[in-house]
Amino acid sequence: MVSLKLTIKAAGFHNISRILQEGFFIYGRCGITVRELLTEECRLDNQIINTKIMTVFLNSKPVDNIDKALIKKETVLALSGALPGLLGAIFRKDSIYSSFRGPISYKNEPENSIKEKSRCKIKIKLFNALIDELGTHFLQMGILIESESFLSFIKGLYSSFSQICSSILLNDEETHFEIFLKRTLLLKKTRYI
Amino acid sequence: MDTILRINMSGKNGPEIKKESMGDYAGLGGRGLTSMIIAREVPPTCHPLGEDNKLVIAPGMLSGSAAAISGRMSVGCKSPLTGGIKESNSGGQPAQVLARLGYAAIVLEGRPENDDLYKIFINKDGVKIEADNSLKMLPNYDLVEKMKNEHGDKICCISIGPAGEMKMSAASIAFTDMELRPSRHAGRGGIGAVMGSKHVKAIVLDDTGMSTREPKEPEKFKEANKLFTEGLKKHPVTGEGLPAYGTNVLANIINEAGAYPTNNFQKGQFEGTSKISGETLAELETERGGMATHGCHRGCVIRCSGIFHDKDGKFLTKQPEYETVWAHGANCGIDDLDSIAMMDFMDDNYGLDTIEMGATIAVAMEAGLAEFGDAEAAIKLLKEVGEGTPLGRILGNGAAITARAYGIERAPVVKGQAMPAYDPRAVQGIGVTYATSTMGADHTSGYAIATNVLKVGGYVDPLKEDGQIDLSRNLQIATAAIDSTGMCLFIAFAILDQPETFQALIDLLNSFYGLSMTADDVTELGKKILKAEREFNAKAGFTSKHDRLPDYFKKEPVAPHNVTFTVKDEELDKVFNW
Repeated sequence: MVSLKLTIKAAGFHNISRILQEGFFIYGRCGITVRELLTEECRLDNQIINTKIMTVFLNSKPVDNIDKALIKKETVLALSGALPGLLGAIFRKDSIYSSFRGPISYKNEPENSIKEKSRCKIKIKLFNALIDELGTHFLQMGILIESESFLSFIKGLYSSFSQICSSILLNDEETHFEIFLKRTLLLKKTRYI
Repeated sequence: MDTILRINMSGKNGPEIKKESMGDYAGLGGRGLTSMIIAREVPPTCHPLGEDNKLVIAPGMLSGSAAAISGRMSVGCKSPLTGGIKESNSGGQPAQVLARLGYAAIVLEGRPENDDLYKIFINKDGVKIEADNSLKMLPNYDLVEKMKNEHGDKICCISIGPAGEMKMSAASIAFTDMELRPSRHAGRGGIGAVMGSKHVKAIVLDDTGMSTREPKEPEKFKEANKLFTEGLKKHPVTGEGLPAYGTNVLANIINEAGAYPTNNFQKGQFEGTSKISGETLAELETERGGMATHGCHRGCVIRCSGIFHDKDGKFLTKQPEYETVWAHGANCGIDDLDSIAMMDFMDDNYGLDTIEMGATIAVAMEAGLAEFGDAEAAIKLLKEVGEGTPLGRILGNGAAITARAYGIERAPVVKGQAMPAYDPRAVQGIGVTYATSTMGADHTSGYAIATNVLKVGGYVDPLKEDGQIDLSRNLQIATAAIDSTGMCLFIAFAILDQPETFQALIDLLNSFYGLSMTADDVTELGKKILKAEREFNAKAGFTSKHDRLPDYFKKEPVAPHNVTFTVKDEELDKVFNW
């Protein structure tokens, strides 16, 4: 197993944005609600959930009530702040315009419809203001990303590496970026990092 | 702002200038004024490029005043793209300047019999119009540079590019921004072709020596403006989301919803979205020394625009808006922001509607003229339009014409106008507005204030099955009214969520004009405008059969939700029952 510790300067945080937009994985439990996932597994405060997370998609379906929407295996949960325009309003939780998106809205499932509350992997995407609001929280909590996303992120750093990354510790050893890149490219077969 | 400036381009001895009072049009501005003049004065069956059509350019009711974010300019005519009435509006400086010069509207009438191309100059001393054939086929950026050299940098310009001169149905009219760049466009409906048909290349405005329009009740106005501005700034959308990321902040969300038309509306999700999203765009702009937050005119407090620099850190174009990034991006399978920004610049320079051109190139791609995702080929096609090659002449007339020329069924248009960036199968309520709008497929036609704030036609239950019909109707009414004020439509959501901000808007209008309007009066104005527009279209030959989406939206399911457009025709016919 390879251990890697990258220290990114605050100014380079935006370089991580693509990873957060495209999605990362955390572990949760099947059968719990979106709110339970956010509070219990992601350790987010209810006030943040109620005031900052304005739009929620569960497997591409806009959700109106996060206390009813249930997490399943391979769920993709996308979270967004307030958005402009009529379309922004249409996709909000509890939108007055929800009829505009009727056929694609999340339909509540009966409680206890998922009997086995097993551990499952959930993909989370963060958009717009939530990248800044919640990005560091999730990074501190620890996330899983696909090796393809990680490689794309590292390649994207190439030209501006010195401005963004203050140190690389590969198996606890300070490593030069070129060497690190070569080693990283060998990690293609690794599914998660 | 109590004068209508009429310029008859058919005058025997050259263009004739006439100034007249508002008369029956008193109290109107923006879309209210453009649509009323067109409905009353233009024969509905006339040829849009003929001498009987008129081009009306009108600032909003509050433009030129100190009211925040009041710099929208409306342009109206019979549209060469749809064949119906058209109002297209834009930001930029000219609305504020024209209003300060005292004009409620410029009306271009008739058509010269010679080939001369004209320039109009308006300042505090009056109006001059002269032939200047050295301007022929100048792109907008070159034209404005020339105007700057001739008239100084205190001016602002309204102009057309080569597309307008070639009378293409996708031609726009450009309005200069705060930096005197022709980056703001009234894009929809081919209005640039109508200006071209009048042989007017540019209208140059200089308000030096003029002052801000004064309200009738200054103290009340000042207080209302303060409350209105505070309302916009404290709202999370107008105060945070839009300034930080611009309108393209919608890309990720619409894509997540499966409503982001991809590859000419074949799919509802684009895998390259994170590469062209508002978040990524803002980061790139900041990294290259551009700006992720910028206003399109003075007095804007939302500042949803930005400045896009190329890889060398030089200005390329203004921040491409959501619709543009979608049209030239996902809809053509292109995930490269530099290419999209280049096409945005080319559209602005040639004077083309970015939505229509993106939709057209996607149709051309489906026809086999290029591969989806091939940015270089897309740029080449756009160049053909600017140069007016035979292929370019087809493309420059829009998605419907291009589809017809190449035998493509999948033309995403209503009344001949290309759909914007929301798939109506995934967001069916938007489909209702696309289908029934007087303007052709237009997302901004039903955009404004919540029905339950205005209570237009009573309270609407959004969960009712036919809620989307009622909502679409009421949104269209409210939008027609807002389009008359000169206010940017993005105020709508601060108003939706904050009744005190809505009241502040009414108070702004009342204190400025010394009126005592209520929300009901605003509603009546919206209805009056829509009624006039509907009547014009009916006389031009439109029937309920034109209030429909293309059939394939009812038959072809769109991924990932695999939904079709299911709103019944008889439901669509109820939209204008009030």
